[in-house]
Amino acid sequence: MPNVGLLEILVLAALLIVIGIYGILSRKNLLTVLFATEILFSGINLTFASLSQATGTIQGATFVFFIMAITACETVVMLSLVFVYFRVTQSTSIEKMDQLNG
Amino acid sequence: MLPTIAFYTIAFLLLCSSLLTVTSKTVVRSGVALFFSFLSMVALYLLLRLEFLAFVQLFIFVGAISVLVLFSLMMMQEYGVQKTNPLSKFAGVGVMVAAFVFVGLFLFLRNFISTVPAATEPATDSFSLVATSLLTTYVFPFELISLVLLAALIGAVVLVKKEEPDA
Repeated sequence: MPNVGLLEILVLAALLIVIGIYGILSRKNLLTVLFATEILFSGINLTFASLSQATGTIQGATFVFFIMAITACETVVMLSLVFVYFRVTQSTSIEKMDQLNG
Repeated sequence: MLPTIAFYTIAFLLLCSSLLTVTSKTVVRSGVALFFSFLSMVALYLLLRLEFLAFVQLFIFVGAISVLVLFSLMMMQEYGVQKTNPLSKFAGVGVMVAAFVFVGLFLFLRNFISTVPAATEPATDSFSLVATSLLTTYVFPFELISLVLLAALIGAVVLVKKEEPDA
């Protein structure tokens, strides 16, 4: 990366994290919340990867590999949970998740 | 000059597709935008010369997760409800929290950037380096990941399986 500074990449990662946070907070649909967490994870991975690249070490890239594996597990389990929820209530809206509201 | 143009182009595509993912009106459009977001991440990893991560991202996220997401969208629409993707009443709160976090991160990064030690030698040949580190230093977490993946697989199957009437 000769011409692009580390700061630009880290700011891009910060923007991805921020977009993910906005998506988690602002959407009513469970699936879009899941997509937003994926974007947040992308930002975190990019932070790890770019710092690993800038310092010439490989630990960050290895860590990104583990994060990706955990993210894949999380997505699969979350999707099946959403599917079960959808089968029970015929909806994926967060607003209707008030069964535990006392 | 060329890497700079490539970086800004990829960054633009990545930010646009990510924004589309969290702002578009239907869930299917969100899913497709997420696919392009993953694809831009692959390009970004290739630009950073992290080929291993680029291929892992390509296989897991662009290949598997996107297809899984679109497939489950299809399954859920088959039951015929909820195609829309409305904003919740916390959208304003979301913007405020996001702006707050971004300002905090930016201020932190501006001071943090000078403390990053420069590379003694650029990390090249990332395939063999990552593979060596995975099979020596991180061999225990590497094996543990397979257990976690198996647990997620079994968990997903058990969750989605229809219950027998009386087994």
